[in-house]
Amino acid sequence: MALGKIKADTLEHSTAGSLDTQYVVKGSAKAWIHFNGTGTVAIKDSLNIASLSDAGTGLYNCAISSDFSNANFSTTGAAGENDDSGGNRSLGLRAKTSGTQNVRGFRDGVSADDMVEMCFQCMGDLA
Amino acid sequence: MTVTPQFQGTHLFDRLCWAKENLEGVQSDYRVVYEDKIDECAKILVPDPNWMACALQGGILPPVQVYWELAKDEAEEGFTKHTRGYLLHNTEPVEAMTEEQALEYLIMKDCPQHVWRDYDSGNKPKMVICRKEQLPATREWRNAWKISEELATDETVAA
Repeated sequence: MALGKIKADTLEHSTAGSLDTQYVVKGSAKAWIHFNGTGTVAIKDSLNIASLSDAGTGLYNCAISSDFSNANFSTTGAAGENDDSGGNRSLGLRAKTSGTQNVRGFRDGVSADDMVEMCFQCMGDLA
Repeated sequence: MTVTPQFQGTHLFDRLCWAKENLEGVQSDYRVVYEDKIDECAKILVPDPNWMACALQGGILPPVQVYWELAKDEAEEGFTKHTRGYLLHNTEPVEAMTEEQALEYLIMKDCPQHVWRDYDSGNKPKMVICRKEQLPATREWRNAWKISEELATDETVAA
């Protein structure tokens, strides 16, 4: 496969104005993961992830392939059960380095728990 | 068969994007069970399917030693940001690996060094590679799982 390349500093719409391509490059998620945190933990899909470690109930340590430039990247995520019943679920952030992000799943904001739908994405500058 | 482009000098992230578009993810049947802290439960490392596809394909991932160098830099006092990220992109990528070699690479990348450097020198192993069917079928008492002290290849490895 040939690696095609378009070099542009600006994207311009016919009527809606223009956008500096830096917004696209800097504003895109550089790593993301969607995994099942129940049973035998399995990664459903991802980008720029090397592995996921199941570290206990609701605890997961994620290793990145192409490291960020430091640990100041921004992570957002969510957790759920693909189900409309039960309490509120959420995903908390734990320790991280330029190449790792640890997370924890919560039920009702209190108790750590494993959930079927766990996902997060990281934005920032890569090394 | 998909041929890997000559990637040395290409940003690793761009290579991973190429791989996601061109390679099928590979769900490994293997897991790495390890204990890195005596008072914590066993951890179970799951290889990422897209990463495993890259490892089996070859010519994409940098040598594992590159990650050690970056980790050393980050551990330095006063570290603010990586200045040797080029190691990820400019070092010659590793050739295609077998699944076993890929797991060894991943262990050396993502498990603490004190675990894999002497995983079998204590009273019981600190790390075991197993098939996922060998893990307990339910997550009951998950926070108490430890590596079984007497292991046989057909037995459950953690309980």
